[in-house]
Amino acid sequence: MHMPDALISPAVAVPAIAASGAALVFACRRAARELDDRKIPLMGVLGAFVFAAQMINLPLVVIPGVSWHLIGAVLMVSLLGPYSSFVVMTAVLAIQALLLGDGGLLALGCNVLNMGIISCFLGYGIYSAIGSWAGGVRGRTLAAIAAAVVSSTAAAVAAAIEIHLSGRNPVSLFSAVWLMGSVHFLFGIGEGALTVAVLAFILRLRPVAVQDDARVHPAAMRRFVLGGLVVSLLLGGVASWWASSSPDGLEHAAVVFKWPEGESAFGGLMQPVENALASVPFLANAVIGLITTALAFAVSLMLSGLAVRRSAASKAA
Amino acid sequence: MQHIVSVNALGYSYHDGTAALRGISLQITVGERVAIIGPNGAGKTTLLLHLNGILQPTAGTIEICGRKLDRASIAELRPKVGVVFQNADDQLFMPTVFDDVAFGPLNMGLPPDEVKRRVSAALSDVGLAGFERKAPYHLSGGEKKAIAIATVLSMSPEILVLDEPTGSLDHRARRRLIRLLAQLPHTLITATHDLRMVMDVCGRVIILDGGKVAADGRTSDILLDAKLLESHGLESPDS
Amino acid sequence: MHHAYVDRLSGMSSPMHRLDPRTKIICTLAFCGVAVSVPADRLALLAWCAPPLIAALAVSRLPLVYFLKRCLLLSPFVATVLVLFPFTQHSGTELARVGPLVVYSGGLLMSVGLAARFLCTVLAALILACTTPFAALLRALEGFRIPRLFIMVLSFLYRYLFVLVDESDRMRRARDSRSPRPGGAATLRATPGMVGMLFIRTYDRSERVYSAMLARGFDGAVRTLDELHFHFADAAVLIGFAAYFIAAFIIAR
Repeated sequence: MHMPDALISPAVAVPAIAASGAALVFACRRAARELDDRKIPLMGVLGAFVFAAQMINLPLVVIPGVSWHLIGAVLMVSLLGPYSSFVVMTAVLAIQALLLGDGGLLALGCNVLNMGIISCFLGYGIYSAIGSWAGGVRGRTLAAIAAAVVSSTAAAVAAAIEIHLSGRNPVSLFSAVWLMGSVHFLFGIGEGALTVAVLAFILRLRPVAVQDDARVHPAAMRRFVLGGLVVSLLLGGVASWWASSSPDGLEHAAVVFKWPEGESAFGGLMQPVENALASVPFLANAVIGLITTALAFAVSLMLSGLAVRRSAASKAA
Repeated sequence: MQHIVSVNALGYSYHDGTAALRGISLQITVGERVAIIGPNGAGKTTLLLHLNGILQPTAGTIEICGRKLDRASIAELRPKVGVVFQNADDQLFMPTVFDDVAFGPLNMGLPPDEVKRRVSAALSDVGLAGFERKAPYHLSGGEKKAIAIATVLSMSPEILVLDEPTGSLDHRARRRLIRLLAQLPHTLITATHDLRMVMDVCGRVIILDGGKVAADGRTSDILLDAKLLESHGLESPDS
Repeated sequence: MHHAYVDRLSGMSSPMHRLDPRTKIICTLAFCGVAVSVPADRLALLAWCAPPLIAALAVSRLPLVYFLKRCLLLSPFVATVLVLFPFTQHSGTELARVGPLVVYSGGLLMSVGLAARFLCTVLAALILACTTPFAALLRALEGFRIPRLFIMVLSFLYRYLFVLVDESDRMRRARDSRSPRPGGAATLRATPGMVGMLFIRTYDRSERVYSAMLARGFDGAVRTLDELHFHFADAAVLIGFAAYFIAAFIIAR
C-alpha cells in the first residue's frame, strides 16, 4: 500500500508531511519516557525484524499464485505500545522508501499517516479497548484481529481518499474507497490471524517481551475516544477545505461528501451496481459498511473458536 | 602486591534459583594472562559478565583495581575493564567503524580530538588502520573480531576480557588474532575452548566446572595433565 | 538483495558521491516537488526535469542498466491506475474501442503524465540512495533537527537489516524445502513459527547489543562526532539547481 510520489499532489503531500512530522516528534518524546534505556537497540532491531518479516511471503491459499505478507504494525503495538511502535513503523517506511523505492519520498508523509499513525494509534485504541473489555487470551486474540482489520481497512480508505484529493484517481471516490477498503479488509483478517499466532508463540518463549497493557484505564479510553473524534473532525475539515479550495470547489465538495454517479469503472460494467449504491444516501452506505464489518468479526470469532455471546459487532465497529 | 582483579566467594543464581556460580575466589595480578576453561555450562561467560558489572553477584564481592565493584562504582570502573563478547556482530552496532570505536571514548566524555586520536591508535593496534569509513556488516569475521577488540582498546582499559575470541574465525584470522593478543600489554582474561591458543597466549589456566573453580595453575601444568582435563570434559590440546 | 546493492553503490566514488548529503537531500526533495507540481494540463513541462536527471546520472557514474531496470518495476498500485485512466477519464477525443470499453485521449494523456512523474521521482530518489552512504544520510538528518531517537532507531535498523534479512531468507528456504508443495497450506502453517523464531532471535540480539553498549559506557545518550562540512561545490550545485528551475519557470510562461 506504499504510495509513490506520482500519485500525490503537493496539496495533499504537504499537510500530510506536516502531520506526520509533528506526530513523530510527539511520539519520540513519549517513547523516550515509556521504555527504559533498552529501547534504542530494541526498537532499532525490531524495525529490522519488521522489515525482514515483511519479506516473508505467505501464500493466499484461496487464490494460488498471489502472496501477501505481514505488515507488523499490530504486532509491534502489542509489544511496544503505540508511541514506540509508531516510531519503529515510521523508520521502516522511511528506509523502504529510500532503499527499495517502495513509496515516494514526498509521499512518505501520506504513507506514514496511513501505515504509521492510523495503523498504530487506531490499532492500539481498538486493541486495548477490546483487550480490556474481553480480557485474557481470548480477549487478546479478538483484540488483535479487530485491530488489524479496522486499522488495515482505515489505512487503505485513507490512501484512496488521498489519491482522490490529489486528482490522480481514475475511478470515482466511491469505487476507489470500496476497492481499496475491501481488499485490505481481507488482508487485515490475515494480518490479525498471523499476529495472534506469532504473539502466542512469543508469549510461550519470551513472555517478558509482551507489554500486558490490554487493560486500559477508563479515563484513558475516554481521552482516546475524544481525541479520535477531534482528529476525525479535523481531518474531515481539512479535506473539505482542500477540496473546496480548488477551482471547481463546489463540484469537488460534492464529490467528497456525496456519492457520485460520474465516471464509471470499466465503462458500463459496474455502472448499474454503482448507480444503485450511489442513489442510496450516505448514512445507508455507512450502515452497510458497519454490517459488513460485523459479519467479518463474526466469522473471525468463529474461526478463532470463540463463543462470545455478546453483541460484539455493534460495539467493535 | 595489590591484585588488579579480586574475586571473593562470588556466587550468582538465576531468578528461578539455579546457581550458576558458587563460591568462586581468585586473584589476578597486573599483566597476567589468564585463561578460563571448562565444559559448556560451567559458568565461564556468567563469570566474565560480572567483571564489568553487567551482572551483579548474589553473593560475594568483586574488586577491580582495589575498588569494590557495585552500582555506585560501575561508571568509574567500567572503562577499566574492556569486555569483548563472543559475537562480534552484537558489538559493532554503529553505522561506521569509526563510530563504533569512538563510542566508548565519547561516552567517557573525552574531547573530539582525543577521541579521534584514540580511534586511530586502536585501529592501528589491531592492524586495521584506515578502516574508519567502512561499514561493519561488510567486514569479514576476522576483521569484525579485530574491530570489536579495537572498540574496547580505545577506552584504554587496564584489563581485557575476551569471551571465546577465536570462536568463529577461520585459520588465518585465528592466527592473526593470536599474534595480536600475544603482543597486547594489558592484563588478559579469556574464556575459551581453544586450548592451543591458551598455550600460545596465556601463562595461567583456571578450570571452571559446575560453577566452581576446579583447578588453578600454570598453563604448562594444567594443559599437560590429560586426566585432569578429561575429568572436566576437556580434551588435551595435543591429542 | 536490492538494498545490499544500493548499499554497495553508495560506497563508490564520484563527484556526486562527494557532495554533502544535505545538498543532495534538498535537491532531491525539491526536484520531486517540481515533478509532482507540474499542472495536469501542461505536462510537457516535465521535459524540463530530464536534463538535471541525466546530468546527475552521468556525474554519479552509476550503472545505467540497473537504473532503467529499477524504473520499470511498477507497484501494482501505479500499474492499476495507469491502466485505468485511459478508460475512465472521459475527456478529450475517442481514440479506440475495445469491446464495451472506450479509450480516451484525455485519459491516455493523464497516464503518460503519471508515468513521467513516476519516472522522475523514482529516479531522483534512487540517485540519492545510490550516491549517499547511509551513515552520511543519518548525519544530514541530524543536521535537519530530526528527533535523536528516530535517527538512532534508523541507525540500528539499517545496521541489523542485512543480518536479519539473511536470517529470514535462511528460514524461508528451510520452510520451502520442507513443504510438500510451496504455496500451499503447509507453508502457511509454518509461518507463524518462523516469524516468531525470528522475533525471539531479534529480541535476544537486542539484549546482547544492549549489554555491549553498557560495557562501553552507554548511559542513555548516544553521542556522535559531527563531521559534515559544506564545500564550494555544494553551494554551486544548490544555486545552479535553483537557477535552472527558476529559468524554466520563467521560460515556460
